Amino acid sequence: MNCDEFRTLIGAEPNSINPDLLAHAEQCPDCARYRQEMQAMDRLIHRALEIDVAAPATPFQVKKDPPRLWRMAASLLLTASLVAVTSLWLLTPRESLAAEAIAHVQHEAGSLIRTDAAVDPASLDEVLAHARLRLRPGAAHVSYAMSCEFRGHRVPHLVVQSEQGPITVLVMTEVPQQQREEIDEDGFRGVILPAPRGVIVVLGQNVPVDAVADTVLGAFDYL
Amino acid sequence: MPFRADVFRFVYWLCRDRTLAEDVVQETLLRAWRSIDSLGDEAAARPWLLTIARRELARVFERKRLPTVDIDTAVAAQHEALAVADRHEVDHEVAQMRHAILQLDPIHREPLVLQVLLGYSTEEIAGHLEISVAAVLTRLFRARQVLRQQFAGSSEGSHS
Repeated sequence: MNCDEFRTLIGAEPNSINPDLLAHAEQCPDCARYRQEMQAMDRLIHRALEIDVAAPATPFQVKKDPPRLWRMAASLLLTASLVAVTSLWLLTPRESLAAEAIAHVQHEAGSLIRTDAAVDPASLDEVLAHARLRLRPGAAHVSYAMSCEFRGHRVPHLVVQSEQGPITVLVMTEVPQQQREEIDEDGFRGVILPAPRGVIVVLGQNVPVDAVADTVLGAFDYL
Repeated sequence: MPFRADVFRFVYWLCRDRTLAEDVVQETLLRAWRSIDSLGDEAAARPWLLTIARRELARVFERKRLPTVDIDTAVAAQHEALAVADRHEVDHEVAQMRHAILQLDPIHREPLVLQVLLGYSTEEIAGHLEISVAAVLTRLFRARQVLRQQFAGSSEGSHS
């Protein structure tokens, strides 16, 4: 693979874990830097796309009101539908927290790469600030940090590089606290830890997670 | 409501209009409820909703023949609307990137939203848009190239 091919593919998928791409990046510092730049731009794109959902209408979106009767009928129909859909959702058996966490990690599989790169501290602080958290500087080598939506709340999704490989840390401040629970599902091993607010889920693939779990649990400040 | 935020953001970035996006989301939920039996696999709920939303938006555009406006005017208005409407303050970089994304061609913007915001794989995007994987990769590459250039340009402009 040459540099042009690399940049074309990375330009389309900056988080690709294609072995050929990773091998080229290891040999070519310029392309490795290009990949990091594209990944940083993707983090910014993600933040930009994540617009507020519940914002009120603004003067730019004023439109003619429909007739009152029609509005009332539409409201009733919508309310009934939302109640019905929500009821159906609530009555449907939910996946376990561990299974949902694993599904989420699999969804962002591009984050699970071994790398020396680290997220810049300002981006990490911003991701954590959404959940009113702070990670003590230097506590862990964080290579990936995103504010993800999980069960309707923003959850810091971090990847910590350990000597044995990447380990995912999901800090769920809005889920109910629970006892420590070991995870061994779908090729992932890990642990759910009770935290000062909610829980912390730590997951790895063929990587021991206990040391990282203990480190991050002690290194988070809950603000 | 699960996935409501995803559907809203997806529709918003397609149409660039909050009110229209809210209307389309409501109509999407109603249509989804009416055809809930056609959803075989619960895990497929999100792509199913996004497909309904995309069709519904196309229907709205066909039905209403929405008026066209000058792109600069639209972008300026939307840019300000986003800044006004967000409950959370966004930093300058994010605002600039939003401005750049709003100016992207829709055929580049949609796969980018699916990939970066909604976590779709290239193959899933190809299925959603009913185009080849190669075409998806080309569009994604082109989207990022344009954003890179526009973002670099707006950053230079803001510092001058």
